Amino acid sequence: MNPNLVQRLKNMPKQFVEYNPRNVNIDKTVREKYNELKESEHSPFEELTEIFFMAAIVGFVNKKRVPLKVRYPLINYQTGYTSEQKWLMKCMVISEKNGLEMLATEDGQREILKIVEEYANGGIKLLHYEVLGAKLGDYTKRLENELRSELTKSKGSKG
Amino acid sequence: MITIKSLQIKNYRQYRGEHNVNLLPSKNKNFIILVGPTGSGKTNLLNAITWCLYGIESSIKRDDERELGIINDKAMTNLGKDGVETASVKIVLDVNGKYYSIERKAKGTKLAGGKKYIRPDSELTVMLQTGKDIISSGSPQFTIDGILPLPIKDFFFFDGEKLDEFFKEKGSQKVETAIFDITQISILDKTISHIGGMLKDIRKTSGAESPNLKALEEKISGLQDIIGKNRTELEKKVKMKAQTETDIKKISEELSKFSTGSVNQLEGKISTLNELIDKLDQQRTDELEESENHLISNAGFVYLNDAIASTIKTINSKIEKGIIPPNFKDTFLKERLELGKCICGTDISKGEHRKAVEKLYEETSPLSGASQFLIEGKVILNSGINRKTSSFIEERKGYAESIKKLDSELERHRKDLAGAKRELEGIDIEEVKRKVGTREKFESAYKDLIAQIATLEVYIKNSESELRDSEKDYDAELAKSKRYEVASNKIKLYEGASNLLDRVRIDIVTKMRKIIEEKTNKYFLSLMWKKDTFSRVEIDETYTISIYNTFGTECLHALSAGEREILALSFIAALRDVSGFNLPIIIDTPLGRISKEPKLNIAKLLPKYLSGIQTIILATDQEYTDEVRSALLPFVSNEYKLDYDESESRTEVKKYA
Repeated sequence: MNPNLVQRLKNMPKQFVEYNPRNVNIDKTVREKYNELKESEHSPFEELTEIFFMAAIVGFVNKKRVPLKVRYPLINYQTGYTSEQKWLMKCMVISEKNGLEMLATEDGQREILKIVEEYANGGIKLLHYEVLGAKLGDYTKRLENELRSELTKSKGSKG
Repeated sequence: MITIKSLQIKNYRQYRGEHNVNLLPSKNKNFIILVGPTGSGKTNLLNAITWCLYGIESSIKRDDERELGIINDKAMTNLGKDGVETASVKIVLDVNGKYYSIERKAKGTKLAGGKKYIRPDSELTVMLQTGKDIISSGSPQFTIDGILPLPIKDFFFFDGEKLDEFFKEKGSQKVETAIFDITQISILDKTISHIGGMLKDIRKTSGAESPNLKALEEKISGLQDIIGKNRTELEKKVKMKAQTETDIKKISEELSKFSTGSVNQLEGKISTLNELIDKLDQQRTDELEESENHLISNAGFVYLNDAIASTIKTINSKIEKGIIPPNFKDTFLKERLELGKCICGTDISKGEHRKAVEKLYEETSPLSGASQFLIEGKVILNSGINRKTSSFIEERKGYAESIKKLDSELERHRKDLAGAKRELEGIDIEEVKRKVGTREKFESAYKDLIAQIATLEVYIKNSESELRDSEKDYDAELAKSKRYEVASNKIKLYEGASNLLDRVRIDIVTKMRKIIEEKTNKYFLSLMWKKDTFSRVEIDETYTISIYNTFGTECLHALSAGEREILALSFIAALRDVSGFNLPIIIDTPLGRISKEPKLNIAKLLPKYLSGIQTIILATDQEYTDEVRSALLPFVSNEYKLDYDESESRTEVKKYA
């Protein structure tokens, strides 16, 4: 038998399993940033899950991926996100790495989440600065303007 | 069920000599009435009962009474040299068919020089029935606490005049205290605090041996101190805020009663505008919050628009190429290859057949097993992107317009309010000027207090979060060393227990608050004579009680004394229900502060409200009018009159004539 096929047979699970860990990790050094974004009255975020998700988006959009030094399981993934949000996280990695095949195995899916964690790790400092930093004006107003222009851009490119 | 069968009082305060009062209700007649003028000893009957049961006189109203002492003053005066006088109260109870007799005695004597001396300690005896025998309880106070715990007594034996004050002020601590008392949450609090103390001790012991642990232990201890101090400060500020709010309301009420000039009209206008501004402000806050949530929940779809489109495209291309859904799932082919047998029974362990299946397997994409998951994902992404991005701009516009409209309404009302205030300030009446000036000061202090409370709450939250992190660091540090394995395990166990108890506490208190809210609401709406005026009663998470009228406006402050009493009776009934105790009710002066018409209404409602519960009412003759009496009489088994002889300083309990 073809050796690759033998290997594939060996690695393959009996049936497809969706990787759904209890938590996703942040870097321990940035946990204070998460807490500040959650607690500050100037921040529109109320839940750590929202902050991680937005941080990952900010990291992805700004192409900032930073590996975690000390993994800290702060965010509840299993129950903290809707399946819609979980799919959005997958999209970041699939589109970037042309990696739909990563979804076939548990290891691949684990790798996807690891990359999302790295995007969040890269994005959290930017997000923290955006929301609570010295930037002028209200974060939500800036966010709204940015989202409007993103939408116009994507409609323009489709048109 | 517990029934008070009789009360025997001897030389207790104005009850000189021995008095026996039969309190046993007859069938369907659960009310016992004791009537007497002010000073005749009604409240002291209630005091006699609480003194007998707990050794405390919970309703002593005047200092001179306190000074007189428990033993009747005349009996003490008449006492010869070296003589001993005794005051005693004996209550006979029926506790679920069993006999209980509770007696408390206080002894007094005359010292050299004729000075009266009453011993501060009293003697308590409880006789109880076990089977056919009557025995003396070895721990009488413990026995009493088992049938009528001290913290809940105020919901069974209470002063009607104080009831009125229960909800007079919004945000009063009384509601919270009552709910905590009835749920007996203090038992859980003591356990939580005890575990906290044990945790502190273990950390201290372990910290003594390691500098890292010592530093962390000190940090944890410091943070706990800061949190404790800030909590105390917060409580103080919350009380001050409630008091300031009351002061502002009081001045506003006074101004609204001012009939000179246009003061009362202007005050009415100010009050309406303030209410309107508060309501609109709240609406604006809610709308802003909703708008922010909308923005954040849509951000992912907008930012990741391209990534989503690319993922959907990739999945579609796999579908177009027939890779998903597959003709054969790779998991199915793998299973067959491992078994060496096709589903038709053909041997595929070797030979041409196996090669054919292997080829098929090789051609099958690894994604085939995930095909259902991928197709589901495509549907989720497609529907999300269509739903969220197509209407995003329109929805944002909707939020902006709604907030703009609220802003302009608020601006208009604020201008009107400033105008009305200016006009009021311009009224040349010294008293009005003074009141308006004081109110302004209070309003400014109120705003400061709100800011201070918010700051303290943030400090506490941040310190609590830092504390949680430090505790995690401490545990991690401890786990590093084998030496501390036992301490680490102990800490894990105590932390686990403490977290669990915290959750249980929140759960109990929240559930109880909800149940009490529902029951208060039910009682209030069924007892209230103005059936169409009120729509609901609410108790929020800060234990603030609110009453809404049928127009949806909060109107607790506008309740009359009679309505407030009905609310308090409803709340107390709700508390009694959840307490699980089936005890007699004793109400002192239930209608004392109520005017004529509501008085009769309440009198008619009481038998319905206290149906089947032994109820002892201590009333003044102004309260127990002919009308009230005839409303209650069908439910009364015994009526007594408290006859006070001023020259003898003595009260006699007589049959009501």
